[in-house]
Amino acid sequence: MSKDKLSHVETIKTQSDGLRGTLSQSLVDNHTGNVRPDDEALIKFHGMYVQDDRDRRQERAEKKLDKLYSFMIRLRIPGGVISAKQWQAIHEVSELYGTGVLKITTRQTIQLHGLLKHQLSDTIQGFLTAKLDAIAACGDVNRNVICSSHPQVSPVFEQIHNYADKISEMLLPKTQSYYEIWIDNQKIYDRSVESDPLYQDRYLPRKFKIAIAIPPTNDVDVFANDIGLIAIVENDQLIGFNLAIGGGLSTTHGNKDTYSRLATVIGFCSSESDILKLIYHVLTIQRDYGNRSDRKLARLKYTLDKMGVENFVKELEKRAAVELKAAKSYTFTERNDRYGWQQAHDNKWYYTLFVENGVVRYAPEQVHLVISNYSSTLSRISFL
Amino acid sequence: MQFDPKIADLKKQIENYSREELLWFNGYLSGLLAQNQIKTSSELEVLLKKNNLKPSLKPVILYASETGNSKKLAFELSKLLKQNEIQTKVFDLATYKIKDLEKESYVVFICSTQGEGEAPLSAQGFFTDLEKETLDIKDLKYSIVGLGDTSYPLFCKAAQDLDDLMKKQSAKSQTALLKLDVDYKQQANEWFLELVALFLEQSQDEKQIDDKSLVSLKENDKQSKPDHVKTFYKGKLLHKVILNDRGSNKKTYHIELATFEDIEYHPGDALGVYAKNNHSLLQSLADSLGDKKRYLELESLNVKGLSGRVLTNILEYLQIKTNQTRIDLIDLLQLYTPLVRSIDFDKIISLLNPISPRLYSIASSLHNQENQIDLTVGLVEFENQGIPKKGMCSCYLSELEIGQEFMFYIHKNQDFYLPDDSKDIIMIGPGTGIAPFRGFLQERDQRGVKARNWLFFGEQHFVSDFYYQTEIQQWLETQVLTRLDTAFSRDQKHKIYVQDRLKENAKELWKWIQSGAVIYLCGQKSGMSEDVESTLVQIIMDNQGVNQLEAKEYLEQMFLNGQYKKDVY
Ligand SMILES: Cc1cc2nc3c(=O)[nH]c(=O)nc-3n(C[C@H](O)[C@H](O)[C@H](O)COP(=O)(O)OP(=O)(O)OC[C@H]3O[C@@H](n4cnc5c(N)ncnc54)[C@H](O)[C@@H]3O)c2cc1C
Ligand SMILES: Cc1cc2nc3c(=O)[nH]c(=O)nc-3n(C[C@H](O)[C@H](O)[C@H](O)COP(=O)(O)O)c2cc1C
Repeated sequence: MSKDKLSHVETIKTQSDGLRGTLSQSLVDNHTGNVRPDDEALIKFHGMYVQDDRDRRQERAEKKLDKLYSFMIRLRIPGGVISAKQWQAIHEVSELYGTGVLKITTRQTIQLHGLLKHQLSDTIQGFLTAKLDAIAACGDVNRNVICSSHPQVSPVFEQIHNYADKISEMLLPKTQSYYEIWIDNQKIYDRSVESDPLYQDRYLPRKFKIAIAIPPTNDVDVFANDIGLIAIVENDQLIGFNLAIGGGLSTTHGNKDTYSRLATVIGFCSSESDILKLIYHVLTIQRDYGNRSDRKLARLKYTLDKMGVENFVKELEKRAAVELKAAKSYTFTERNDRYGWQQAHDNKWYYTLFVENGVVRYAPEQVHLVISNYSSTLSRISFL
Repeated sequence: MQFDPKIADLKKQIENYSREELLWFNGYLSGLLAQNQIKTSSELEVLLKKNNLKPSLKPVILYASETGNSKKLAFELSKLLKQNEIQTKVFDLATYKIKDLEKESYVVFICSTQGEGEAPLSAQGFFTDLEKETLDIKDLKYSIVGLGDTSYPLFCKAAQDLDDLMKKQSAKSQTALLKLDVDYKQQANEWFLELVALFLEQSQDEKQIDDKSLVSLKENDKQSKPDHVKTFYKGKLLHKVILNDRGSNKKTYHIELATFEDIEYHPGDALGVYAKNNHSLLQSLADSLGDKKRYLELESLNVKGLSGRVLTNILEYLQIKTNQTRIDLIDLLQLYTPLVRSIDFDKIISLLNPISPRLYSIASSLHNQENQIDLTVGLVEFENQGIPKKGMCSCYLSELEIGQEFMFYIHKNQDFYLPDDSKDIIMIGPGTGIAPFRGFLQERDQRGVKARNWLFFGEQHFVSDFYYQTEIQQWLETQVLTRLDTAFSRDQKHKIYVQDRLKENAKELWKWIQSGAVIYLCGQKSGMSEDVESTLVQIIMDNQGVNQLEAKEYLEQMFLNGQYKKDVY
């Protein structure tokens, strides 16, 4: 019975008016540091989630203070590449509004923790001036697209990297609510530009992850993603991608129905537009067939196994009007990061820094100085 | 009068009395005396006739007020005089030019006492001038009404000082100095009526006295006898917690005390607390004074932040000089002992004043909990010459241990009570100013009052300084609190204060005011209350379409008729 009942989050999504919910009201609720209960689910689609410090609950309750709520904001950085200027901007924002600590994540993006509700708009606006956003960084949508980031690995590196941007762009929700709520301060957007054939009003049943790997390096753990693209490079030319679907390692402790699964390679595709169509329709199938009553069983891997790989591929080829070719051979020989000075395929040098736990603390005389001194020559920063 | 046997009698009577009981009697006696000092109307009549008061008499009323009591009385007297067609003007001593005294024929001073027996801050300039300048006021007639509180060691001292200064200038005192305690209203009204009656009788054209109104006023006032009995209670600390979270610049204590009997109070009242000196401080002090064993004799004497007369006298006795205006006795002695041969312990004791009580707004309602009183106490911390110091009483309260007993009295504050249940209220209470409003909200919650309640609260940081946040959330949820506006000054680049929230909500605020909502302001006097007040004036200007002067008068009128109430410190 309960299996068929839509989970509460599904109702929140469909009734959210383009992910708006009551977020604007939540922001002006001056008695609490939290947002309203349903908005807790919606704010994820805007790249944030709320936490409260459990260790402080008791003590604060005695002081007649509410729980200590704070927010995490995660940026959308397709492929994990930002400019030195953006890095600096992120630092500045974190010092102004956050705890001054940046966290570089395994999904090639940056998170700020410890933001208070009243700092969220300023934070987002600060990011926007550096052309950074947090749209869809959390929530039941396509998350940050990750990509091998060692320039050394291939001369077609740039070209492959552009896919991360294109995919990310294609899979963004169409709602303008992010701008309406956080930036333009209640300016009302024309809803007609918001019609969203991909996500409709339901979005996906669960989060969705895409990774691009460039053999022989599998630093992105390509088979642990809902969609994995494996670049096929011959004679320094990108000829296309093998497509792998249905990966995901997480399981719910004590729930026997959950399992981890490596992505299944389902074929090869060479043209860019076909690749994009295929990716798009993996999402539409997941949208339509994914489990919306039990969030623990809602990732693509369960949908895939429920439908069967063969059926899934048939449906995918039909929807995308693309025929998959047989997968090309490739070999992954390494998964590790190469630290220190490395020479890229164009003979330029780059440096890979080890950042323990991805935590970068504000140290004005170090990180900052280096970057501002060399920012004219430092071309970009990418995250492994 | 045979004094010696009476004194011996008295000493015997009181030998077992505690300090608090003695203080109480001190107040009681002052009250009795104050009553005796009112002349009967026939005495006054004679007095005024003898002095041949001119019919064209235009008495001027000068008031010196800190919390508005004297000011309210001044306007009541003025109203009464005008009703009886006696021309008069009211001035605040803060802005009154002392030279103008030479042009007046009769002044009525209404003056309260503040601090440790000082005049209200705004009138201190006038006092200094009166001391320094030589005025030609030999023919000036005057009366003085002193407002004070017998809980304080120097009862109505400022009024007394004023009387002395006027006498020194050879002005003619017409009535005995009237000293009034906290329940001054009835006595003041009686006295005013007598004053008016006599002014009128002096009138040459023998105008018809509007007897009716006079009689009716008198009748109203005669209903209850003044009650000078001040009761001291014992309380026991039940619970205390710092309301601020880690990282705050403040230490504001929520204090709950248990009482041993049913104590009648209303939200709006305050608790008067007598602090005691810390024993280890007293031991080193007694040591410096040459007799460590006698430290307990200093327990209830004020040895901290000495200023004014006491400081002058001690400096004189020790024959030392300092350019500091406030200093703790211990610091004074440590700095200057080498210069002094020997200090007479008794002499020093005779130069010190008892510790004055401090007031704390009651932050609870009897309806919510019997035999318990809550307070919201901000620990006062400051530096003197680089030495970190804490406020006498706030520190005493913050250091009380659970179960420890202490003395207090209830300071009635009728002018800050809730209005009747049909009226909306607007509460402006940043910082510890929120205390009485917690009592208000508890009270209105318990009694199920339907009228609307709007709270403005402010502090430095939302995360650490939102006093009573979870209770406020409850009141919002249950709609006891209709609206909440908060101003956390240091949570963003530019400072935001409660007055900014008032400005933002001016339109709505004005609607509430127009529909009769009563405004309550509580908290810090300097800075906060002044800024809030000038914002209210601005809101009146904008919405009533009047100029600043008129808007001030409008607010003044709201204050005098009870639509705007203040309890600021
Ligand atoms: C009606 C009313 C209601 C009140 N309600 C509250 C309430 O609800 N909560 C609350 O916290 N307070 C309240 N107060 C204020 C309270 O009564 C006290 O004034 C306050 O706690 C400070 O008293 P204290 O004894 O701690 O400080 P004190 O020792 O009296 O010091 C006060 C100030 O005097 C100066 N001073 C003292 N000693 C020295 C020195 N050695 N050198 C230099 N300067 C010195 C400092 O500037 C210091 O800040 C209220 C006051 C009134 C009149
Ligand atoms: C902080 C403080 C100190 C006071 N000190 C004295 C005092 O030393 N002697 C006295 O007689 N009354 C003292 N009082 C009582 C006031 O004079 C009394 O409340 C009076 O009604 C206030 O009148 P006002 O509102 O016109 O200032 C003090 C009151 C406060 C709040």
